[in-house]
Amino acid sequence: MNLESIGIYAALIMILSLPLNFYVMFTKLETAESYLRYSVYIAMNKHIFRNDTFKGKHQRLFAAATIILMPNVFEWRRLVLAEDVKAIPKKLKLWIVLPSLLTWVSAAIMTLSGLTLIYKS
Amino acid sequence: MQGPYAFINDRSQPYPLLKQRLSLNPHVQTKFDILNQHIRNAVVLPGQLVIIGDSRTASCTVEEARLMSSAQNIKHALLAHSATDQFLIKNYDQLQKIMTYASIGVGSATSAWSKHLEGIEKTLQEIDGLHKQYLSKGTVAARGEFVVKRSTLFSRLESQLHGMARFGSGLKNEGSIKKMLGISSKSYWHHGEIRGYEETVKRVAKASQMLKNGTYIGLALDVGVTTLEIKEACSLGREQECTQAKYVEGGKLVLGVGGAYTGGKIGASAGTGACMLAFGIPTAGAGVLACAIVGGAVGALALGMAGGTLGEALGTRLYEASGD
Repeated sequence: MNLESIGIYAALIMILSLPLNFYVMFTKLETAESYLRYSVYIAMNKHIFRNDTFKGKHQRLFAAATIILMPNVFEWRRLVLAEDVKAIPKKLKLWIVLPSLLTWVSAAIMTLSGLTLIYKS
Repeated sequence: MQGPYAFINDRSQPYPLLKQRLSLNPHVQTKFDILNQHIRNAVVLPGQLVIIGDSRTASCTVEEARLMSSAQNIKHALLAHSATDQFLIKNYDQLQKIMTYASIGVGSATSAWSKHLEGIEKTLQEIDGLHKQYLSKGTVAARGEFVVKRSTLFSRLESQLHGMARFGSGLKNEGSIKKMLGISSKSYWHHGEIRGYEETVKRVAKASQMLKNGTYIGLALDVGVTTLEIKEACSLGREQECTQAKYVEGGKLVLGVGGAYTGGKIGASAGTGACMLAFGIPTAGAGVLACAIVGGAVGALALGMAGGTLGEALGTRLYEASGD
């Protein structure tokens, strides 16, 4: 499989992951955020992106996923309490993290292959 | 110095302090107050124009009146879009950079952009007119003439579309406010250069307003470009190219816009996270907002470009597979 095919598949996966992101944004995100109500990081994201599309829910989903993936890093900067992250049910954590990860990974592969193709041409 | 001069204030300072720093002659001071009514008895904000009058005459000259009008416009643009939170003033540098290098949804608002669109519209109308002319004659000779004239118009359209792809291209050679302020703090600006500054402030103010409200212009722009490119190919005797363009441009649009959207979201989120992790809570506010804007613009640009290229490849493959 060449670079172009890898990039195309990654781009298609990224596009297809968006509806999944939207589903989680509108059905699961607020529940997850309620567990993280003392997080400065979550509060700041809500404030900054309040005028953005869907009240910035997409960025907030990515923010919540980042916190769940790296709670210790955010706790080190006092941006979240690790106990709050632990309190989130495992199933909900998976709902938040997996679609975001799928989008990030596919977007990263797509960008790398796409920009490499541009550079080579 | 002969004639009136003006410069751009580079820091926030009270009017009396600014006046004191300039060490003006006593008789010029009265005129200075008259010329600078837009900043008189107030805190002078960065970016505002300060006018130094013509020392040879006590009365106001036409040039001074022009400078006063420019100063009022600049003040209006700076304050109208930053009245409550000073978003424009605080983020001028970032906005300028975004407009120059990654103006997703920003370049489209400039006056240069509307001129671009007018030019393209005119060329399309000319193609349409030429086609109607050919249809009314309907002869073989008329067809040959039509094809030749059309190819000239197509090459013009191509160059216009090439320019169109470069968002905010009219801004490319302009320096940042820092550079401009660097000049202004050392030497006075002659009035001829003020108009350019006035225009830049207006454009950046518009951009800041759109960034604050969230904009879909970037998306509309991509859709517009695609439609135009399809139209370009869809003309007499070019049916095959038209079908191919539909596939290629369609693929480019879906993956380009999808990529730019996702890139914008990922970039903004990553920018916010990186800044808050690196600098902690004290930066909350304008600093984090700037990180989000820069991150979003970089992400949208990178993923939009990559998506566009891959979309083009996907479109070509689909066209080949369809066997049209």
